[in-house]
Amino acid sequence: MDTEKGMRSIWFFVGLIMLTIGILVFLAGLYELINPTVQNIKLISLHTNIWWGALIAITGLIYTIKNKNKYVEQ
Amino acid sequence: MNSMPLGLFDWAIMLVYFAFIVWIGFYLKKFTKSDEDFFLAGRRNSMWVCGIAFMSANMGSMEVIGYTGQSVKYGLYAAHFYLIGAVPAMLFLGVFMMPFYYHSKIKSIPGYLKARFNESARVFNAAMFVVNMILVSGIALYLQALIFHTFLGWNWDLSIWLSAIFVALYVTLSGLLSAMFTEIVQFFLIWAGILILPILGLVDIGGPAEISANLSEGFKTLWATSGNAANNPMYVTWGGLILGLGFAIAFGYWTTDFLIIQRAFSAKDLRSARMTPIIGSYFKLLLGAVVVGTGMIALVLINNPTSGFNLLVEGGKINYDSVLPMLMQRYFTPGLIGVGVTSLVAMFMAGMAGNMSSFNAVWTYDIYHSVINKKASSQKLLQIGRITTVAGILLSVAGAYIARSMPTVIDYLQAISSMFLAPSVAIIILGMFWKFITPKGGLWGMLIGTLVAVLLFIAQETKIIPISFVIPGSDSAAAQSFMAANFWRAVWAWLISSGTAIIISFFTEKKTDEELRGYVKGLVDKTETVVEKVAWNKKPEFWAAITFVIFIAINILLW
Repeated sequence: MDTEKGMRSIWFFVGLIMLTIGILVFLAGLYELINPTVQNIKLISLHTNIWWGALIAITGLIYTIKNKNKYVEQ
Repeated sequence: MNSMPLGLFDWAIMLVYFAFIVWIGFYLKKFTKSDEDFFLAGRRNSMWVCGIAFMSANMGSMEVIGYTGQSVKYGLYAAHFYLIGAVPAMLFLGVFMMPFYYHSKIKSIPGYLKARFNESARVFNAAMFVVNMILVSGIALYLQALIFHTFLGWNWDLSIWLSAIFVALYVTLSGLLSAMFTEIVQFFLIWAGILILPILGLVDIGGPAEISANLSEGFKTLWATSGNAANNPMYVTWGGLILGLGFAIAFGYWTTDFLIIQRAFSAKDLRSARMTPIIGSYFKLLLGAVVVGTGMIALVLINNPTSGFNLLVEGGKINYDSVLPMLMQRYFTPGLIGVGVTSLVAMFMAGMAGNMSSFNAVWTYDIYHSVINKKASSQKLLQIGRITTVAGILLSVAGAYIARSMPTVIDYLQAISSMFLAPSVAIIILGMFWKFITPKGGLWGMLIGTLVAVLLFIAQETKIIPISFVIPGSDSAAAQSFMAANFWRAVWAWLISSGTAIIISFFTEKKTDEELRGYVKGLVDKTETVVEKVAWNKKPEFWAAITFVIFIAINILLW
């Protein structure tokens, strides 16, 4: 199907991987918040994984939605 | 180093990333039908795709891990690698040199040398490039194995071979198209992994003002202490920085290293090709701020005994390359560790994929097709390209074991640049801007320049000559600097190459204007190199001027 339309835009793939990884980081942060296991990490109270993960996921989501129907002509 | 506590989410992130990279390789295989698809990604890419891939090919593990360590060792002087050592050369490439490269539709830099000079110049330059690439790839492979070995506790052999297999798998699948695709994905991942470090570091130390308050002048200025080599941590004068790093090494790397320029050749038109290094220059400045900033934050932490932060000490020597992993250990919580380790792996993949795809192109076109099998079909070249990738990676594995035996990799890397890149840039720039230079002048200039630089390095390393021999007017402080010797060796290599080329050109046969048309400034058909008429704010010159103003402003502000 994709071969007929051409190659998918690179930005779609960028969005997809950022979205997936962002969600995983965000979930790791939530899990750590509910069930704290980590010690000896500086600035742990900032819960960086929650907001940084969310930021990566949102960036990924924007790229994915914006480029989901874009193809490079062959 | 203790291995980092990777949790379930961290492993999931690594797994997702690797699965994604292999999937992209298989997906793109459908779109790789000819040798031009494999080597030049079909020449259909936008300036953003090319610009990001260009920068990503430069953002190898050496670039980020190595130079963060150099920032701890040399303070703000390490920023010169991102300023005088990058920006002017990148802009020169985009504004002045790209029209020649792009117009000639060459597939590699040696290809340009053949057109401008002769077949011998092409083969010599290709051979030097291949040697350079294997040495550099060996270092990259070693650093990647170091990450697996120290972070995950895997043994050395497994770490090296596993890294090699991953690179072989996806570069073999789709050549440059795959390498560029992956580089762009990695580019974003790398930023996700490293951008957060200086932010957390600044919160930890109490803000940017603490950097200035805790460091001596030599560590927090760019030029103020460069009048006397003894006053700065790099033991180098402004002359060495400008001529050696800023000219001979930077121009050698940014304007003639096919590894990165190849990305611009895949652009859909000349304007996009010219914009490629200019877009890259903005990211280079940002990367410099992140890398050097992170290193200087680490320096403040090290200087503060209550911070509890230390670098690794192995065999009584400080391991500067451990800065980035140690900072990640300090600040990264679950999930972030996964992104951090994956981004370190991504840096390696970006660097190695770049190395291997350009190694492919140069070996296949400039050595195999030019010397070994002149009648090879497009399909045969595609097949050779894939075999070359595997062979190149196997040679890099050998290089990794050599690099493992070296004390430091960054100084070694700069030494390689001074020997194999500086003579090439001298001849390419002379040949591109002066039709007087003859084919024999170009060939002998490169050959003598490389030979002298290699002999100087060997003599220095075997203690036949002291380091101070290559550093003009050196005092005892400058004489200790391996880095300053690299900068000056590059200057001598450049001067000897240029001088030899000019002298021999007086006595040897010149090419006619017709033969040189398209390859020398002043002998180019204007209609072929002038970009289409675009608004002033879309011109490469406009965007280059903005970067240059930022570059000057940073140098003045941090003088």
